[in-house]
Amino acid sequence: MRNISVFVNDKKIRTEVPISQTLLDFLRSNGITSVKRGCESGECGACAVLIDDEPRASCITLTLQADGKEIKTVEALSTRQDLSELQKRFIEVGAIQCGYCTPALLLLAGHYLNTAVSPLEKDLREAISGVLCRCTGYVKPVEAIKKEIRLD
Amino acid sequence: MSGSKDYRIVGKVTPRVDGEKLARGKGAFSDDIEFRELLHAKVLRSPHPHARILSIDTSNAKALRGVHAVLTHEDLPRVPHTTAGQGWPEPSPYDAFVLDNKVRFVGDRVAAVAAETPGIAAKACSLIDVDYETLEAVFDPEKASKPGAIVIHDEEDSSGIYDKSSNIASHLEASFGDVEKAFKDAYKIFEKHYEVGYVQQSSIEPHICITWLDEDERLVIRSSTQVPFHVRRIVANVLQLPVKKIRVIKPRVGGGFGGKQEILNEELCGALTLATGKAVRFWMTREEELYASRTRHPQKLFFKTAVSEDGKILAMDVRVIENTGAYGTHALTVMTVTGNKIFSMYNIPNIKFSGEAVYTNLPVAGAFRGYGTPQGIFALESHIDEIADELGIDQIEFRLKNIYHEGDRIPITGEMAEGEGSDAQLIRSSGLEECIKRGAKAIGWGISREPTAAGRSRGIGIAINTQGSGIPNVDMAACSIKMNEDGSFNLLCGATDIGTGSDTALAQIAAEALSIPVDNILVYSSDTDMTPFDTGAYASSTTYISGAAVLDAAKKVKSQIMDVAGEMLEVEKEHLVCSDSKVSTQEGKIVTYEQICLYSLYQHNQFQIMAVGNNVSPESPPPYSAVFADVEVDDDTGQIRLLKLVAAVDCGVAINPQMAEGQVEGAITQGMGYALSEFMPFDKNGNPLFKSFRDYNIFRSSDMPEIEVILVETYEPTGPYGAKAVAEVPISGPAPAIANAVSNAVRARVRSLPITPEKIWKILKNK
Amino acid sequence: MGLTKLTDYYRPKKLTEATRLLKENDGFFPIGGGTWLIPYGGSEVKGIVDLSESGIKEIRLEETSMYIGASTTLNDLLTAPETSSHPYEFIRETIISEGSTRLINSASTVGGRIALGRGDSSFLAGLIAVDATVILFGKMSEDVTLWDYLNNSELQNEKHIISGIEISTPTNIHSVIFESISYIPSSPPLISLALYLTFSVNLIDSVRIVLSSIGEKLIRLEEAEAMLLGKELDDKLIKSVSGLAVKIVDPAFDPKGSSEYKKAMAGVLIERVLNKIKDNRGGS
Repeated sequence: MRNISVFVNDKKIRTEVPISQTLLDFLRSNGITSVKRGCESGECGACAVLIDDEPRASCITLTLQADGKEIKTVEALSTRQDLSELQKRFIEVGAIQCGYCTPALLLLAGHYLNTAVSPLEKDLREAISGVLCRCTGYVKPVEAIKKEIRLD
Repeated sequence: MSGSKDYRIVGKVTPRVDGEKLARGKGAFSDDIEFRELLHAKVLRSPHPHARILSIDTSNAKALRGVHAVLTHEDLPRVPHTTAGQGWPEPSPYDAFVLDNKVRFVGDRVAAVAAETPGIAAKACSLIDVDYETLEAVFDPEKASKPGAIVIHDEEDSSGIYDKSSNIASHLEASFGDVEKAFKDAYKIFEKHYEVGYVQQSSIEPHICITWLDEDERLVIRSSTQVPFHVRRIVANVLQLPVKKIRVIKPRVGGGFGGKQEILNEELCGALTLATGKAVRFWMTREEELYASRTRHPQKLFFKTAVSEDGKILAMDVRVIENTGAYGTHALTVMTVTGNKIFSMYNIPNIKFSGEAVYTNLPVAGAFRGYGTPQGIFALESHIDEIADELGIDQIEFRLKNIYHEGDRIPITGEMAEGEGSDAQLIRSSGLEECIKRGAKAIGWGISREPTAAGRSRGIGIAINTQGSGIPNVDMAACSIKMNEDGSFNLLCGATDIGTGSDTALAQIAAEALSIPVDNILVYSSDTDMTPFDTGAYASSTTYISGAAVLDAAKKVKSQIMDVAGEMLEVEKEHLVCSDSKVSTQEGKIVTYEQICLYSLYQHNQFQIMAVGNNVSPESPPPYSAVFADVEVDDDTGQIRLLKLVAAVDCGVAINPQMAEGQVEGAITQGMGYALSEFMPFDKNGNPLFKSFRDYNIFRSSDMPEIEVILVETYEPTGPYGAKAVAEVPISGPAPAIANAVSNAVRARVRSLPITPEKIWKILKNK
Repeated sequence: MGLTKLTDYYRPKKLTEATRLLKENDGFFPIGGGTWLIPYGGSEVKGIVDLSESGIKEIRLEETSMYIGASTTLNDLLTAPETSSHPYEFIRETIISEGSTRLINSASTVGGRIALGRGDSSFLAGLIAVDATVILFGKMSEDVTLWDYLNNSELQNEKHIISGIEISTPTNIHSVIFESISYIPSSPPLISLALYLTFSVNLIDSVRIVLSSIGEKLIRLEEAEAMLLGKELDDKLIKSVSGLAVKIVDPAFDPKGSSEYKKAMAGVLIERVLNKIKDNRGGS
């Protein structure tokens, strides 16, 4: 066991964790249900989180690797009252089907929108390519994200 | 004829009723709840493709700290059953056991452990000592059905197997007309064979269930399933519990695609709960998903077709050899659908179909979106293109010359069907011709396009196909609608939303019929204690079958509302008008739904406004699709790049056009994977070689070509608000459309899936 | 399966500290992002030394070379301005071709890729083609090329920490030319080729031909390189070189592509790339 201190969606958590625990297990055992288990080898991306604003597959990250860092999950996108614009777009265009990969897609899309230097659809598709979706064919998720691209 | 324009809610884009909770990532799925003292299940799986278990020593595993139970075949009642979640009595052979003294493929269950952590459970599995007598294994269905082959199901107590000694799980034959005579009289005869292999459903949420005993000692099963009521019935049977002792809860499901139309771990998980008295969680890893859950049936299809000089198909003889793997789950019915759909496209006067589903020592095939159709349609639509090319007729013209039209009956559907069968389906609505026309225009049929680079060739291909809308006289749906005093309604349905959006579509149907906004419908699906029965989410049945049940319930509830309103307004109910959550007289006197419900619950002649709706359909109207592919092939390497895919689909009136498009987009993407990237290879001992998404490649966002989806609206008179099914029909088109486009581009006909660079290269090299 | 014996984790700030931990403890492994070790490591892993904060995350473009620190992630390289244009765009192209996802690449590091040394790494193939050198911490005495490092198991067993790589800026007009074949864009290549070739006047004065996804290790076609060296590039030579490649390449079993196909494709891709170079010279 090892002591850690992390910020999860701006909330500080100090606790003791097993050395071999993955960040996915840590977050889910702390009530963060948006982070999903899909393949446990990083390939499906359903477990995506942001660590210090970088997308990471939490199933192949040790909790200890995130010690001292800021973790963001989809819970941070909205308030209890309001959804983010991107979440609203996803609902509005029908980008959600089973919803299992939705939180991961939203996180990576949000990261892309915040950091994108290119509005090209090719780059957008590349940015979310780490998340597998078996339901939508990515058509409506891409449509939703494109509608949120604002280039200054 | 009416259509979506006549409705207030149906046919209009309506946001999903569950959209917000999913966008927030709320804990809606099976694995998202917490338990005290939850145990974790792990299965020890066979390393051998075929072996008898001589003995199992579990003492070391049981002695490990944190292990609560270790089960082997010696601990459980031996009940032959099928894992297929189908109507009762199931048409699949009873050839499976929760645990058995024999293993029949690499990955078959040997023993199960429940322990305090997944790690301890895995460690315990490694401590189980099994003495195997390895047996000869057979992997090729053609060899498996030859005399002298080792018998895979040699147990005495299995039943429903067509011919155990020949490893033939199921056998099927159908014909009409005079095929032999037609071949004699034919202008030309074409004989070709096609082959499709193993692919896996790959829902992103793997199979997961959690079982526990409630305070009344009833077994509760929280499972990611498409078939909660079949789970209850089959688990009761194999664990020898009364049905009343079991409750199945289906929370949100993270995709099913047929893989969860199966009782795959609920019985074993339940057995561990019964053994320990504790809550047990059974999670299938991705690796297990990829070789130890369920797959699509591989098939070899042999076609012989006779045509006349003017391009009419006179006769078609199709023989199918289907590999069902180690168990015969869905073996017969998948093959039935293969034959059924092959012969539902073209008006051929003389046909013959025969098929055999054969056991092998490979992973178990089961239900997968399309259910036999993608196999049959890949072969049929490749074959049709080959004939058209050979005859020198445009591929579209040849198809139009031979297809069934509105008003035709499809004789094969009366010959081959599940359950008691049905009459030959009458085509009451068909948008197929329009799908072809509009799709052709969108892809630019007949316009030659330049390749995007030198050294490549470009081609366009078409494929058309059909599916059903539920299983006639078999699929049954029920629901209840209950009125609340604010004018909202609880819709409790057995229908199982697995991500398809059926909760939303059913809410729309109810809202339309009840003249209320969709957000006044509170949908709950599904829980065997709370919701009425439904056979489940499969066979494209939900909108058509369950939707009609909802319409039935809504009409009954509305009639009750009108009765109460008539009493309140002192007017005969025939003279009342209902709209916008209120009922009014011709003179303009109004009572609101709120007032009506308060009146009925608290004031006079009190009763609960509520009704149960039911539906079984004697018909299964065919939806249609026409898929067009624009591809480019590298002349030297055979590498294929998809440039564009167009899918035009007739699903009747789309209850929710946006969700219907979503179904098409998802289905064609799976179809593209079937065409180009998905397959499951094995070594010579039947070991699976692909165990992760790094090797088993499903389409990523960066793989998608340009997609154009066209919904061609028709009105199906037997469907709720004119609807037919949509979920499955688009999956079958991409593979043959791409094969046809490749052939069009480089004159290389690939007759097996997936279509790989190497297969193309080989054909080009040998030219 | 699984890190069942993992009992220690360190994230040192200094490479000397990391080196000490690795040398003093059996069963300690370094990680960059851990994208391989965490899902696929087994009971041999007793401790992890996380190098992500050891001060070797850096991309530095100098006058005639580029330095890439070992903790630089593949995603850093994909988004760095330094790799957006000639002559370093091959770095992006080779990384994307590998079929590893953007999400994994945001944790996978250059050092990790080198340490794994897999035969299906197009990225490493590209680096080998430009004679990238590996910088080993605490072993400053000599530069070792990536190719030599990957083929020197003795040196690898000395467990030096890879602190970075250095690439001499490609000087020809094509830089590294990269070609690959795959089922679909995101799937790992069936075969890929990284080729770097320079001329002195009309004669080839240096050439590297590196193939990936042929076997467990990357393949350099040294015989074919020798055949090209000092010659003028003409059709006949191109044919002989590609013919030689077909002959000497010996692909391992791969369910996605037969040995026969991969051999033939080695020839096709080499011929294609050499023709491209020849045609461009003819035109310029």
